[in-house]
Amino acid sequence: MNILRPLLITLGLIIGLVLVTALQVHFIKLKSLDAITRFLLAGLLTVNIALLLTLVFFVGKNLYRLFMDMRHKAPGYKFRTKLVTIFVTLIMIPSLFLFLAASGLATDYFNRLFSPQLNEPVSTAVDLARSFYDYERERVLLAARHAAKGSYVSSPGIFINRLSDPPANATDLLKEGFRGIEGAEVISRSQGDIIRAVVPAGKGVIIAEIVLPPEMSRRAEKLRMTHEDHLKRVHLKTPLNLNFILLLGFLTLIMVFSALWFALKISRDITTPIQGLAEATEKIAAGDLNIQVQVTSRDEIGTFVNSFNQMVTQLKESKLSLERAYLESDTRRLYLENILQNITSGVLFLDNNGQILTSNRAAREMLGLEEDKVAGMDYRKLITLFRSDDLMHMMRDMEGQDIREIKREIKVNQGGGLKTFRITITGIRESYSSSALGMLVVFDDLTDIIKAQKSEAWQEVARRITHEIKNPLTPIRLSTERLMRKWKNRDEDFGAVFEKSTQTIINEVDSLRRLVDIFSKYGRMPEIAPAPADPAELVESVVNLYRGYWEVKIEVVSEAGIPKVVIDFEQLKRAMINIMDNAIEAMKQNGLITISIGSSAGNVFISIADNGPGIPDEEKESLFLPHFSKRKGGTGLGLAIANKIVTDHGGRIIIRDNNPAGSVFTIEIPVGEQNQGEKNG
Amino acid sequence: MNNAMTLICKAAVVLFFASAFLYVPVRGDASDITTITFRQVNRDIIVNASLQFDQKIIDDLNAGLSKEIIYTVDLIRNRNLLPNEPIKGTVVVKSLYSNPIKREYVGTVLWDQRKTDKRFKDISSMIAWGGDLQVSLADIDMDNESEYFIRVSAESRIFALPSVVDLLFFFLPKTELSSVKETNLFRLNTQQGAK
Repeated sequence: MNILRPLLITLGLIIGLVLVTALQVHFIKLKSLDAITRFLLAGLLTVNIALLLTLVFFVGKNLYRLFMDMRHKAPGYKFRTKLVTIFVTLIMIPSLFLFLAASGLATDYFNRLFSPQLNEPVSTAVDLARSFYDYERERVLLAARHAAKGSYVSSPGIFINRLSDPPANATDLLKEGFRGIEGAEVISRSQGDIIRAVVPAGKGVIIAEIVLPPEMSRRAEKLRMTHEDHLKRVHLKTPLNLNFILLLGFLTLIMVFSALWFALKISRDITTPIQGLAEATEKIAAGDLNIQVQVTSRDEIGTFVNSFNQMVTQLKESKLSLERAYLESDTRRLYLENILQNITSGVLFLDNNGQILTSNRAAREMLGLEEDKVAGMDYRKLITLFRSDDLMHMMRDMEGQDIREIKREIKVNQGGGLKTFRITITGIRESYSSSALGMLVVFDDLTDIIKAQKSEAWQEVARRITHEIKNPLTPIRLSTERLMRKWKNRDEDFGAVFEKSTQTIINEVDSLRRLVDIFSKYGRMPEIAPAPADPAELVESVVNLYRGYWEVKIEVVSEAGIPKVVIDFEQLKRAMINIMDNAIEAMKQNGLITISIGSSAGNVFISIADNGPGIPDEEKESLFLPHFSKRKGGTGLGLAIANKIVTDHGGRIIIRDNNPAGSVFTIEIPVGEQNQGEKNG
Repeated sequence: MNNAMTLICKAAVVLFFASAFLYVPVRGDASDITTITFRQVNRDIIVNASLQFDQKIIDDLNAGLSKEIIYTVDLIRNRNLLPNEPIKGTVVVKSLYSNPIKREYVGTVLWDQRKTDKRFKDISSMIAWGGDLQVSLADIDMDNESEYFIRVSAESRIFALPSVVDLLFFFLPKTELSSVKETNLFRLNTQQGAK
C-alpha cells in the first residue's frame, strides 16, 4: 500500500508528460526536423517546463510559508528571512551585472555582425552588377528601337528578330509588345543570361536579344546569393539578439530561483529543528513529556536536538520516579497515619510557632477535644485548658530551649478529675545538628496504671506486713507453749527455759514494735515546719554525715546565687539521707557521689549523681512506691519516704541516667514566694 | 551519501531548467488571408482566396529575398460532438523569386504534381499573383445532411539559415507567415453534384 501510491503518481506523471509531448509534437510544426528529434525536443521541452513549474511551485510555497511564519512570528523566521535575503542578494548582484554585461556584449556583437558597413562591398558590387545589367538592357532596347525604325546600328552580339504573331508560350513582355508596349527583361540561364527587348513594329514586334557569357551569369548569381545571405542574416538580427537576451534572462532567473530555493532549504534545515524544539518546549511546559523532536542531520544541530531528546527522556524518567516515590510515600504516610490513629498513645505535632498541625484520635479523646478544634490550636491555649501547674512549669522550662527530648510525668485536671500523663516531647529535625522543624508530643494517660500499681503495691505491703507480723508470732507462740509445757511438767530447767523464752518473746515483740514504728512513721509523717534555709547548708549537713564513710567520695558543685528555700530542714535532710543511702548501697559502698546545687525559674535543684550500675527504665516508675526494694533486707520505704517529704514541700524527685554510668536523683523544690529575689552571696 | 545524492539530483534539476531556454519561440507574422470565396460546379468546388502580404514581406522581396507561400485548402464536414471530418484537401506552393541585380521576377506554382513558372515584368504584379489563390477541390463525396466549411491556411517558410546558426539556434522560427481563415458553414447542393 505504501509503495502503490508513489508508483501510481509516477505512472500518472509519465503518462501526462507523454501526452503533453504528443500534443506539442502535433501543434509545434517542426517539419524541418526528423520525427525522433521532434519527439526528443518536445519531450525535453515538456520535462523542462514541468521542472521549471515544480521549482516555481516549491519556491512559491516556501516563500508563502516564510511569509506566514513572519506574520505569525514563528520561531526562526527572522533567521530564515535573513538567510534568504543574504543568499538572494549575493546571487542577484553578480547575476544582474553578468546579465547586463552579457546582453550588452551580445547586442553589440550582433550590431557589428549585421552592420551595413560589413556588407558595403557586396552592396557596391550588387549596384555595379545592376548597372551593368541595366546598361545591357538599354543597349538591347536601343538596338530593338533602331531595328523597328528600319535603321541599322552596329551592335555586337545582339540578335534582331521580327515576330508578326505572338507565340503560344509568350511571356508578359512579349504579350505587352504585341499590345504596343516596349520593354526589356533578363532571362537567367546556366548557359548564359539572355537579355531580351521587345519593341512594337507595325502589326508585329521587334525582338532584340543578347546572350551574356556563362561566367558572367554565374558570377552575377553568386553575387546575388551572397547579397541574399546577408539579407537573411540581417533578418535574423532581432530574433537572435532577443533570444540571446532571453537566454541570459532565463539563466539569471534560474540562478536566482536556485539560490532562493537553496537558501530556503538551508534555512529550513536549520530552523525546523529549532521550531521543533520550541514547540516541544511548550508541550513540556504544559506537562507533556511524551515528545521527541525528529532530526535527520548529524551536525551540531542534530547533536543539540539529540541532547534535548535525551534530556526530555531523563526528565520523563525522573518524573516517573518522582511519581513512584510520591505514591510510595503516600502509601507509607497512609500506613503511618493508620498506625497513628490506632495507637493508644496521644500524638500531637507542633510547628515551630507552637501551632498543632496533626493530632491522632487517642490524643483528641484524652484531651476531650474535637478534631476541628485541635487543628491549628496554639499549644499555649491548650495548656490553659488543663490548669496544670506541672504542665505550666514544664512549658515554662522549655521556652527558648533547643529541645532534643523531654520525658515527664505530669498531673493535669481533665474531665473534672486529676489525671497523670506521661509526656514525651521530641524535637523533629533532619539531622542532629540541624534546627528543629517542629515538636512531636507523645503522651499517655497513666492514671489507671498508677492506680493499679498502687493497689498492687498496697496488696504487696499487706502481704509483707502480714508476713513480718507472722514471723515473730511463731517464736512467741513456740516460746509460750514451751513455757507452759515446762511449767505443767514442773521441769527442773523451767527457770532457764523461762528466761530464754521470755527473752525471745521480748525480742520478737520489740521486732514487732520496730516494724510498727516504721510503718507508723511512713503513714503519719510529722507535719512539716517550713522555714527559710540555705540549700548549701542542707547539703553540707548531709555530706558531713558521710565524710570518711567507707570508700565513698563525695563532691559538691554549687552555682553562685542560690536562693534560700522555705523548707522543713530536718525532713528534707532525712529525704536526702535516704537517697544518699540508696546511692551508696547501689555503689556497694565504693564510688563517687556528685551533689550539684542549682536554680532555675523559681526552683532549686539538688542533684545527687552516683556512678553505680544505674536503674533500669522499667523500675524507675516503681521506685517511689512503698515497700519497693530490690535490695535484700531493705524495707522499700526509704525512697518512698523521701518522695513523700519532697512532694509535701511542693517539689518532686526526677530520676535520670547518669553519664556514663549510674543514676541522678534531682530534688526540685520551689523557692517560695517570700524568698523570691533573696539570693545567697 | 544520501545528502550527496540529493545534491546531485538537485544539480540535475537545475541543469534541466537551464536547458529550457532552448525552446523559447520567436514569432513574427502580420499577413492575413482577407477573403475566401467558393462556388460549386457539379461535384467540384472552386475556391478563391486572397492573401494580403504585410509590408515586411514586400520589403524583403524588393531587397532580393525569395519567398515561398504554402497554401492548404481543406473541405471539412462539421460535427457537433465528434471531431470534424476532413473531406478533401489540397496543397498549393507558390514561390516568389526576386533578383535585384537583373530585375528579374519569377513566380513558380506547384500544385497537384505540376510545376509552372511565370515571369513578371515588375515586382508588384508578382506580389499580386503570389497573394491570389484559385484552386478546385474535385470529385467530392457530398451529402445534403451535413454542414461543411472550407479552411484555407497560408504559411511562408522562412529562408534557410546559415548552417552554423541553424545548428545552434534551431529554435528560431521556420515560418514568417501563418494565417488561417475559415468560411461559414454551408450545405452542398447534392442535386448539382449527383453522379
